[in-house]
Amino acid sequence: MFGVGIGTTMVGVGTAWLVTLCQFPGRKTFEWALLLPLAAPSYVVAYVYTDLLEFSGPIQETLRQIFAWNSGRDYWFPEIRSLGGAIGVMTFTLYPYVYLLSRIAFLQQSVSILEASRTLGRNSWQIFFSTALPMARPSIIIGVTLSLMETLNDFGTVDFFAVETLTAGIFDVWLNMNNTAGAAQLAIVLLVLVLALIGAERYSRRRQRFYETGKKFTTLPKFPLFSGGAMLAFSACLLPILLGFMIPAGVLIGHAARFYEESFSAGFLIYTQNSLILSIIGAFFATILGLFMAYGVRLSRNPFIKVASRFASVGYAIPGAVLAIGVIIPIGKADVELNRFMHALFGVEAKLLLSGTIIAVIYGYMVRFLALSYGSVESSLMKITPSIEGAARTLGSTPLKSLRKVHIPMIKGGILAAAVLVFVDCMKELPMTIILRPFNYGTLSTHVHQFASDEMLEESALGALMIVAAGIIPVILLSATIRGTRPGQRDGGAP
Amino acid sequence: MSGLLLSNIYHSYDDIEVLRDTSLLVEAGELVCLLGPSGCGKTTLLRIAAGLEPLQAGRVEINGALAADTKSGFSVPTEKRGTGLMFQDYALFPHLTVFGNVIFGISKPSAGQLHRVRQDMAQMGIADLEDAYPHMLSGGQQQRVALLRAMAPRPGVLLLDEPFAGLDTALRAQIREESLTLLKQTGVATLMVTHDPQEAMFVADRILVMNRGRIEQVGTPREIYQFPATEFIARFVGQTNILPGIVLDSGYDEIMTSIGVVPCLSMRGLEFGTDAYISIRPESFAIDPDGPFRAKVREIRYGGHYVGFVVELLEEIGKGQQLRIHAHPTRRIDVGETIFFRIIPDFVTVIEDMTDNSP
Repeated sequence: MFGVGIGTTMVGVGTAWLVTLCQFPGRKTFEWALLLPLAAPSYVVAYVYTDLLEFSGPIQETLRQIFAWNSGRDYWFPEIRSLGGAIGVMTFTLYPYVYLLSRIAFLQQSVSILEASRTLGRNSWQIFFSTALPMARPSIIIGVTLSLMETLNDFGTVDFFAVETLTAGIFDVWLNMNNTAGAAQLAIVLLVLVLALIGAERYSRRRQRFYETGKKFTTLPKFPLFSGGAMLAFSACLLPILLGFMIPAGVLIGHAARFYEESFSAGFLIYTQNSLILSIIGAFFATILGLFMAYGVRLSRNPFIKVASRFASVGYAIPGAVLAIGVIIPIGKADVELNRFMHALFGVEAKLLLSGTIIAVIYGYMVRFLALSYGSVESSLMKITPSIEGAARTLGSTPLKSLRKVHIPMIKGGILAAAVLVFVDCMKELPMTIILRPFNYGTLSTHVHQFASDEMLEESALGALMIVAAGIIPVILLSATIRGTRPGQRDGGAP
Repeated sequence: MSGLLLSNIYHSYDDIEVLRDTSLLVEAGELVCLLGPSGCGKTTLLRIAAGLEPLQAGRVEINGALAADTKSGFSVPTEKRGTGLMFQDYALFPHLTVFGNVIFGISKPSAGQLHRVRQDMAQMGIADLEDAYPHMLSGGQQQRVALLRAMAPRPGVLLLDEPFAGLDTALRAQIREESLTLLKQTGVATLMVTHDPQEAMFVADRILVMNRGRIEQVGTPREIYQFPATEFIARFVGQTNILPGIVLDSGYDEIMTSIGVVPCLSMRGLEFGTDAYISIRPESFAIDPDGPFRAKVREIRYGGHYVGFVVELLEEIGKGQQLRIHAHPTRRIDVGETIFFRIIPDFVTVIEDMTDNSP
């Protein structure tokens, strides 16, 4: 976790600075391309690299042929299935969180402050360390916190690399030892870690207020970089994209093309269908719920409602494994009660109505991804001035009618974005799906996980590719959004 | 009966009292202006009337029916109150056309209502903009749409929050005229909030001057200007000269002040011998070679429809006292010249206790 923190910070902040404040060839493309690794879930990337770099993988194979080595004893090669490998993979898939937030922070910094430090005799390196970095610190901390939360949430990668983490431990205790109480205990430890992270994030956000500067927005100065520097900057930006997105995607495409016959089976179609059904239902309910929550908070003057809604959206920060356990226990209880009720009333055994059905999975998705839809709807609602509400009300609309006739038409875009974000995250979600899914019920993510664990990545490449493709959608949405965060700056260029 | 009655309203935000025991009445066909500096509570009062701000203490009656009363805990929701409210930022619905905006408040428009709406739009000169969207309109056009939207359901009470504040000076005068004509035609009881004294005097039948959460004076524009009740109003509505003095027992309405005897039209029933402050508007001075006051001109301010002087008295009593004087703009006087003037009583008034109203 520590390693991922350092890795993501360096990669994320560095690239954000380069892209935002330096001038070199390809900068505009990198602006959005640096977000691409967000599309690939880290477990997928982990499978790909294992496939590439393990003993029987193509790279070691080639090396052995070139140097005529015979066995692993003849040479040293870094073991990908290790703690270091896990850190590397996660760094290159999670750095976009840090990149995104520090880029927004750099974009929002007042030009005059940077210019002031320039006139006070600092060169671009000194400006970075003495002015821009300290000012962006709160955002960077938030970004790192996010990527650390994702690290804690991750199960696929660590499971695959056989790294002993808490999340992996929960699964082990839960699925292999069948010990609910033990899993719950581990889950609580993990939860404490997450709450500490949320605390740190809130704390840095509180401080961020002081950092907000004047509203003087002109085009940011760009430090031109020449030959050597430009090459360095270019490769520094290219490397994370290459490692985090292009290589994995390329490998997957290759596999998918070669093993098209094997992978495009009836099973694959069912998995895709399952994934789509779960994700669409999850996205639908999470969006509706998020919409009503955000609207309710907006109308209400009751501070309790605000606190409650904030609490309801903590789910996103909680690792899927912890949530799954939190969901499965009450649902099991509800089943027992329901059964007793049915038995008493109709004399029939209803068996398990909720646990191990897709209702449980969707409920879990909703708890976990509500924050996404709520946040998206809330931020678009915030752009509507309160007098619009007043206007609708004085013109005879009830709160519900004004939601239908005024607010929803005005925030269509935000609602759609909310639905898409939740949809994509549901597609990618692995740990919760594994625990909560019905017996023998597979989705794309569990399918990929299962095949990759059995060293049959080739067969599941198509599924993995589907997940990555779905993941690109929010990346496009995101890059369109941050472009708009700097008023007065028209950057144009590719999306 | 249409009209608005607010009784004994109190209101606080986070323990800061913004309205104190405020009552007002707006009758059908009347245009009443709430005039006051920003932060005096006037917009809050408007929002309470519309039900957008929950009533904390007091009573609201709209069109003769109870709308809210804290004693009984009764409250009619905003959408059922039948008040039209025009917002300062217009709050037009960006996803609806001009016509869609205007008829938003009419749930099932009849042919007659549609006809009337189109008539109003034509009268305000925006008939050809029916299908335009708000972002395509100029500020003046948006203002007209907002006003028409608030009026379209023909509410018994119309509330206007700084309706002309967003317009530039030339356009403001024109739109003000047009809006006034339409308002008078419909005979709706109108309560308008403004911070601009000129505008309030121009449009209002009656003005309520608010200061620090209270209504300090109610009167016609003429009464407010000629006889401001407090120092705050005297200074807020136009310019003035405030002088301390004592009521004289001369048989006339006169006050002995630091610059001598000043005739005063409004004595507010004060007994002779009482200490009082008076407000003398700059218009109350007449430059006259035979006048009893002699002064030297210190500064000149050319205001277009008047010319203003700051003069310094040369008389024994009140020597050195500076006064603001307005004269007809044709008058040409240079700095340093000596002038004679007299005081006419029309714009001189006794104002109430100063200490309570010092800012």
